[in-house]
Order: sequence, then C-alpha cells, then structure tokens
Amino acid sequence: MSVEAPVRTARRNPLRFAIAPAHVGYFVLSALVVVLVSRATLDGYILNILMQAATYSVAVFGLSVVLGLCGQINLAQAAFFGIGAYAVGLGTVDYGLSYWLCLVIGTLAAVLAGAFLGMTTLRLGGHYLAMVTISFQQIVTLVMINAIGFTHGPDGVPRIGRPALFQTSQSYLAFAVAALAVIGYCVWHLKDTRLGRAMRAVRDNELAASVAGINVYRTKVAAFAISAVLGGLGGGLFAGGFTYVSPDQFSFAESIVFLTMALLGGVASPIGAVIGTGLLILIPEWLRFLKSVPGLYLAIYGIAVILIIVFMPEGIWGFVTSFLSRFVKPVAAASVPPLVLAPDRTGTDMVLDVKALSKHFGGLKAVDQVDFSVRRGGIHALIGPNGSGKTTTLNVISGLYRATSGNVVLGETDITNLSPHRRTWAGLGRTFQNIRLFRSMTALENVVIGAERRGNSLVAASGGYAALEERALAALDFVGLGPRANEPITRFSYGHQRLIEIARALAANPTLLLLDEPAAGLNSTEKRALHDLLERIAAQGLTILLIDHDMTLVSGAAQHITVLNFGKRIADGESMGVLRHPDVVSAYLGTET
Amino acid sequence: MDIALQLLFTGIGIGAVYALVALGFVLIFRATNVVNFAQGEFSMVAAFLMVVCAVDLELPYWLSFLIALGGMALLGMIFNLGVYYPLRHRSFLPVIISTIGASIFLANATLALYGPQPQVLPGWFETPGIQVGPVYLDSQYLLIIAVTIVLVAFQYWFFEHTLIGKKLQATSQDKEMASLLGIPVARMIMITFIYSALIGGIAGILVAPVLFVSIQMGSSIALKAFAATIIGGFGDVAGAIIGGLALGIIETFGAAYISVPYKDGFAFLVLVLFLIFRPQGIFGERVAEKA
Amino acid sequence: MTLLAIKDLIVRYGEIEAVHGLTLDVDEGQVVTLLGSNGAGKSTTLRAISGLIAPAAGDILFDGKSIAAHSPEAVVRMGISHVPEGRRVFPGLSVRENIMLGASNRSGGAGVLGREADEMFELFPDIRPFRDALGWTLSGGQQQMVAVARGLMAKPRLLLLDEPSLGLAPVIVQAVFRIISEIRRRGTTVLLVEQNARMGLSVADYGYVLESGRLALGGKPDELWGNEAIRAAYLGGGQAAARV
Repeated sequence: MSVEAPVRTARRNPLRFAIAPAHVGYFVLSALVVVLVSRATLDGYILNILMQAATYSVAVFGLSVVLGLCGQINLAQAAFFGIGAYAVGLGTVDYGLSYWLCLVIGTLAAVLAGAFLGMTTLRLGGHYLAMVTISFQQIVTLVMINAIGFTHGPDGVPRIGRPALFQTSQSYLAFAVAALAVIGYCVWHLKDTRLGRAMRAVRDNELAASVAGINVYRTKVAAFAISAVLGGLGGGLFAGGFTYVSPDQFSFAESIVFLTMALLGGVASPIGAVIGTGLLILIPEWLRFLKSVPGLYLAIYGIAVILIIVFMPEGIWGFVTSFLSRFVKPVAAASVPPLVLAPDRTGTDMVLDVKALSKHFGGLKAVDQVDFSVRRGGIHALIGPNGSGKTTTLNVISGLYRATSGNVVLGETDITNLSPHRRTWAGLGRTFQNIRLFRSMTALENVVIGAERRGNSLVAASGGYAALEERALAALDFVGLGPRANEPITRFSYGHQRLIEIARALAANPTLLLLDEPAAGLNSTEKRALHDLLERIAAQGLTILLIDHDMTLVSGAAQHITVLNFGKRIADGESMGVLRHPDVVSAYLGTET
Repeated sequence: MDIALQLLFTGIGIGAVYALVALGFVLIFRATNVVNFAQGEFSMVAAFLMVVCAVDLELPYWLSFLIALGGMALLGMIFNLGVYYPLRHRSFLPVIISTIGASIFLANATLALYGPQPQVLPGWFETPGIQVGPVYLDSQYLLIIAVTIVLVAFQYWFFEHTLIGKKLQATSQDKEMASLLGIPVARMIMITFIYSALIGGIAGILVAPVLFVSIQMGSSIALKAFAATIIGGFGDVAGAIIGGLALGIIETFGAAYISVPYKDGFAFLVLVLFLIFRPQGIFGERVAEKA
Repeated sequence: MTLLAIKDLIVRYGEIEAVHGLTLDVDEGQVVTLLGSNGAGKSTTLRAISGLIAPAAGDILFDGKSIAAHSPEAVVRMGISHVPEGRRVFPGLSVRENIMLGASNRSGGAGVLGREADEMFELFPDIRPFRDALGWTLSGGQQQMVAVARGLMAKPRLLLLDEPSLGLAPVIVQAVFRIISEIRRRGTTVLLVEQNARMGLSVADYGYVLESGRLALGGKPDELWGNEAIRAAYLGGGQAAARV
C-alpha cells in the first residue's frame, strides 16, 4: 500500500461540485437584492431602518464568530463599532480624508484594540474577558464624551462624508447591502476553513484542541480580532449611512443590544445574526411608545436576554435548523482505502527519552527524577499505584504541565519546553482518561481535527478538505466505526467514544501514541477488542506508551514496563521480569487473599 | 503630606466598599462557579430602597435599613429562582449572559421607576466626623471601615467554623455529591444568593451617602470590585479585600493628582497591568496550572 | 426479608432508554452484586434508586415503601447511602470534614458529628494520618476509603457502592473489598456495582448480571462463577479476570 494512495482518490470527491451551485445561487440572489434596493422607491423611514439593519448585521456577524464559533464573549462590540464609526466621522469631517481610507483606518484601529484586549485576557477564563470587555467599553465611552478636542464630545460629529460613487442615501444603502452580502458569505464559510474548525474545537474542549495540535490561544485571539474587525467595519458603514455619530450610539447598552440580536437570531450562524438584527430593529419601531419612559426599553431587553438564554438557547435560526435536522438522515460514509500509519523514524532507536524528569506542586513531589526510554515500535506500559505520578508524567510529556526539571526528547526534538500543540506538531498523540471529544461535532469532524495536524505528511496540502476527510474516515474504519462516521458524538456509547478518541490521534499519524487508561470502564469483551486494536496499531510500526491498571491488558500487550511509586521509578525492563519484581508485587500487584 | 494622609483615609473607605462587593462576587463564584454580573446592581437597588424609605417616606433610618435589607433578601431569592436556577446545569457562558441580562434589567427598571436624576442619601450619623491630627475622619467612612471589618470576620467564622458553612462549601464543590449526602442543595444555593444580595446591599447603603445614588453606581462599583478580585487573586477572600483597598487608594490618589473625568479609567488600567504581568493576582495560584 | 425491591424499572436519558424493565430484589443483611458491561445500566439503576434520576416507569420499594422519584435528600434520609462512581471526595474540604458531612441526613451539631467521624477512622486506619489533609491531595485509594467512610456516616440500612475498584491498583482493590466484607459483617446491606466480576462475586451473597438494560440472569456466586458457559458469555472468561 503506497503512502500516496489516499491523496489521489481524494480529488474525486463529489462533494465539491455539489456545493458550488449553492454558492452561485447565493451571489445571484444577493445581486438581485442589491439591484432591488437601488431601484425601488423607498421612503426615508424605510431607508433608515434598512440602513441600520444592514450595518448592525455586520457587527452582529462579529458576535457569531467570537461567541458562536469560538465560545468567547465580547461585551464591547459597540465600542469596536464606535471606533470604526468615529474613524470615518472624524477622518472625513476634521481631516478631510477619503471615505475609503477612513474605513480602512477605522477597521485597523478596531482590530488593533481587539487584538490587544484579546492578547492580554484570552489566556485566562471567560469571566475575565467579559469583565475586561465591559471595562474597555466604558473607557471608549469615557474618551468619546470627555476628549472634546478630539471627538467633539457629547455633541457628536455631523455631516460625515460618503464615497463619491454613493452620494445618495439609496445608492449608499445598495452599497451597504452588497458589503453585507460579501461579508456574510465569508462569515458563513469561516466554519469550514481550518481556522473555523479550530475555533469550534476550542469552543467544545480547549484541552483536547491543544493536544490535537491547535494553538488555542492564537485561535481565540484570531476570533476576537475578527469580531473586532467586523465591529469596526460595520461602524464605518454606519457612519457613512447616517452621516452623524455621537457617543450614546456606542454605549454599553448598545453592546447589549448587539448581544441580544445575536442570541435571539441564533449565535451559531450569520443567518441567525441577520434574523436577530432585523427583528430587534423592527420590534422597537412597532413598540415606539416604550421609548417615552426612559429605561423601560432596555429593561425589556434585559428580560429578553434571560428568557432567550433559558428557553431558546440556540436562538430562532438554531431552533429552525435543529427542527429540520430531524428529517435529515446522516449520510452513509463513502468507502476509503485502509488506514496507513507511517510514523516518523528520524533519530535513535529510542523514540522517547525521559531524563531526570521532575514535577513538583508546591511541596508535593508528584514526579521525582524519573528516567525511562521508550523503544521505537512496540508497546511500552507505565504502571503504578494511584498517586504514583503516572498521569502527571503523561501530562508533563504532553505539555499540559510544565516540568519542574529534567528533559523530554521525542525522536530528535527536545520537547521539554514546547506548548502542547507544538508537541503534537512534533509527533505526539494522546488520549485522555476521561474522554475529551468535541461534543457538538460528528465523529468524522472530530477525527478531521486530528488529521489536520501540522506535519502530518500523509495528508497532501493540495487535497483540501476531501483529503482530510478521507484520512479521518480511514482512521474511523480502522477502529471499526467507519459506517457511523457522520453521527454526532453524543449518540455513541462510552466505549465507542474511546475508540473515536484513539482514531483522532491515529489520523494525525503521530510518532508516539500516549494512551491514558484506555481500558478503564470497558468490559472484558471490549478490553479484548482494545488489546487487538493496540496490536494492529503496533503492527504498523507506531509506538505506544500505555498507562493502565488492567494487568491482563498490560502483561499481554506490553513488551516493556516501567513502574512508578511515590513519584519515583521502582522498576523498569522487560514485562515478565518487572511483574515478578518483589517491589512491584508489594507496592502494586499485591498478593491475592 | 497631610493631604496624602487624608486621601489615604478616603481611599481606604472607598476601597472597603469595593472589598465588600468583591466578597459577594467571591461568594457566588465559589458556590456556583459563575461570576454574578449583577452583583453591583444589588448595591444600587439597596441604595434606592434607602432613598425611598428614609428620604421619600421619611421613615427612621434604622427602619429604612431593615426594610432595605428585607428587600435585598427578597431580591436575592428572586434572582436565584429567575436568573441562576433554570440554568444551573448549563455551562458558565449562558449563566453569565443571563446575569448580564439581569443587571441591565435591574438598572433600567430602576431608571423607569425613579427617573434619571441622581439622589442624595444622608449619612447614618448626625456628627459629620472627627479631626485626628491633620486628618479629618468622616463618620460615614469610619462606619464603612468598621462594618467591613465585622462582616469579613463574620464571613470567615461562618464558612470555616460552622457546619452550615461546610455544607455551603461542599455544595459549591460538587452539587450532585452534596445532594447524595442529604445536603439540601437548592436551599444552600438560595442561602448563598440571599447572603450575597445582603452583603452587596449593605455595601450600597454604606457608600450611598458618600456618592450620589444613581443608576450607574451599580455597574461602576461592580467593575471595580471585579478588578479588585483579579488583583487579589480570583476566588480568594483575603485577596478580594486587599485588592479592593488597593484599588480604592489608587483611584482616590489618581483623581486628586491626575484627572477627575478619567477617574473610572484607573481601575481598568490597573486591571490590564495585572492581567499582563501577574494574571494570578497577588495571592492566587497560576490559573494556567489548573489543567 | 426483602429490603429493596425494584419492579419493572424503566429509566431514560433524553431519548435513550438506559434501563428497560428491570426487576430485582435485595435481601436485608446481604451483599448483592450487579455485574455487566459498560452501558448495561448498572450505574443508572443506582442513580434511579438514590433519586438522581427519576424513573420513566416502574417502581422502587424500600422497606415496602415506594421511593421512586423521591429527591436524593429524601432517599438518604430514609436510610439509603450512595457512594457514586469516581469517589467524588470534596476537594477543598479536609478528610474529617468530608466524613462529617456524610451525616448530613441526620441532625447533630459539629461536635457530635466530629466525634463520630473520628470513630470512623477505627474502620479505616489507613486514612487516619490524613485526617486534616484536603481531599484533592489524596491518592485514588485513599479517596475511595474516604468516600466509603462518608457513605457509612449516614448510618444507612442500604449502602450503594458504584465501582469501588475503578482505577485502583490491584493491591488497593483487595483492601477495599476487605472493607466491604467488614461492612456486611457489621450488618449493613450492600448493593455493589462492579465490572470486576471475580472480585465483585467474591464478597457477594447473590449476583445479578445486567445486559443492555435488562436482567440477564441471577444466582449465587458459585452458581454464576462455576458455570463455564455463563462465565464465558457474561463474566469475561475465567482467565481474563482471574489474574487480578
């Protein structure tokens, strides 16, 4: 079986041609709407509403990306919107710059601010982001109101310029709608790009994403920056549309309005964003009388947010799609050639060298000066009583913990100080004791994330998504779940979810596979199947480092065993010898009563 | 130098209020793993209740205080049942969005009922204060500091030395397991929300005579209290107190020596500096370590 | 005398039915073991008994009274204590505090319960040295001891033990099973869920085998273990399990 085989067949994927007409249709439809908007007779009122809906939608798209795709909150979208709007306002009015230049400046300013906020906060939990974005929003409002010399203060900026091409309101509206259509297309397809898949993986499970080779932090910053870009862009379009901006249009309350729009329509899709925006612009128009009592209008927004979150968490569009999806049967997976594993063979006989490795938590020496080497090919087991430091060792090897001292070398690469995703790029694959899958995805989508590992020489870059999918499908076939590839994760039993996790690691074609208690919770039939699977993996030359308590599996599968106790190595060597070692018997195996 | 001492006193007083609100944050965070973004609105609502009772209805101050606390207990209950409880099995993101919704609602419902005009609440004592050497000790600030000390001591005793405190901790660490042991989990969470509404309310009532009672006071206090919890180390009680005091002092000096309009910006600046250079806060563990 | 009777129990998680019509009895003073593969519905059955999930149909009788769809707090007050899978020791509380809270189903001040917790260390001498250590610092075996001690603090008439051997080293598993025998000797009825068929049956008076949410068979341990066909079909073969 040649290594190139999967790549060749990948080009025949019929899916690529099936989607194309939908794309063409989208643009034809959008063009028709633009023409309609530019030709129809619209009174000023309708024109204003459409203008607001079109420009707000762009900003709400930003929330679809950051909150919907990536699961991160942004409560300063009105601030980014305001930065874009003020750039166009101040630029065209005070500095006499062209509209286009101002639009670019505003978008750049928004993305810089967004990237800065994201970079300072996104290493930490979501609460920090929520609070920091609120603070940022308040600062922007403070500056807009108080820096009168620069921003004109509370009076705002009137008589904002428009591009020469779109001087009339109606032609400008047509331009805004066209921009909305193009941006909407990009946002719609973001989820099918490498970045989009990374965002969804991060949203579902950050830890699993990082060991699947995704740079979690950079993905989150990217999502946040894209959200800021869309905010700034929407604001620039807004300023040209209404030719007047003032601080109260970009207050914290407006950020909440954007959030409500995204949640109401459905945060997972740009279609939801447009629905939500449209509704929340129209409904207040119908309920104008509410605005006569200050506060009442926003109080209702506040209640609406709670009600949507409690009763319709997927939003209107999410509700519709989940209803429709009941009638769509999962597509049966195509047949693909069998999985090929071609682990990297550079370096010595030892695929993994752990030297004097220590990990201390405060005063606790969880791992203390541990040495062991894993020989290339075959199965190596790491065993020991609970609390002996096995899982900590695995976490230090895969980069979830930083080593206190010592070295970890994979092949020829010293990976001691690399982040988890870089170790995955270097050829490490692993599974978790408590299964970590991307729960909103199908089995196939989960495994595709694994196949996408940077440095996976078995998926040709030119093959696109089809090549990834083929690789993923082969990995699922290998563990026996190929026919169910398109089912969502939640429909699989516990034992099968374990196999999907292994398939995700295999699809990446790793150099070394770390398995953390793969037999835990399996019955004896499943355990025998797992044993068989491990043998089949090893037969293709992939080295396995196995942690498990199941002595039947360990003694049957592993050629080499390392035993830890109290963070120290107490035995190391050929399996049968180690299992008869008196220290191992007394500390771990015990004598049967 | 005298001015500096005076500012230090004021800063500690204001900081004590931030510390109290921060305690409410920490409490709910530990019980539910969620930051309650409406914590600041508890202070605002309590201050308005005081204005209604003590100023508009001219009730005695102590009676108004009791009524306001009763109102806060009720609000804590309703808040739990309406905002948190339906979402208790969901991830943290829906819950914080829900508390943000509640915060918007509380602020704007108060605005709709009471109008935008800031109100004035008189202090608790007739005596405005005492002069000690170069420093004038305002009676309201002294009260704030004293009450904060008492409440912090009470909270420590309550959580570390009573059985119900242990049950509250158990509930916050593993709700299902707590229920298997016979701990009434729903009641424990209810107690937490009532307690944190009360503590937020007391902070609002104490600070009201010093500031104007306005719709915005809630979010402004909440942001600073949150910054205080980050500076101190998230989820850490001592850290929240130190962080609150530090922030009060920084802000008071900043307003006196740098700029008044941007007073509210200093908290943000300090927050960002901490996030960049010491995200674990003064007392906290490294967040990244908890894989 | 029957202490616990489960009749035609059906439990669903959303659309998925995990237990389809299960009927079984547990006699007072016995250790009864539920065996079966992952997903057979063993843990779900325990969760239904202790009130963590309400049955869709059927009934659960404890001492003749129906407890189906009671809250967990009500069930533990009636005398059923559930030590769930994964031990679930409160990480931020000390060992002694963890054990004390096991008595939350009864009244009693911190002083009384503290003394009772101290007495509990008689049965679990291994964890006495860690009395004031926080839960998260313990090893898996120590956590299992704390979890069982905490479960016993409720003074239950029926103790539900879910996979006490999961993820433990063989030497610790043997210690845990010695404690289960001791609990039975002191008169508490035990319903034990295990994947490890040999260990599970070694302490049992009676065993049930569940398969895909239904009762496959039941019998005395030696009947189950002694029958080569049953062992091969349900218990994973003699050789595989015997090594542990």
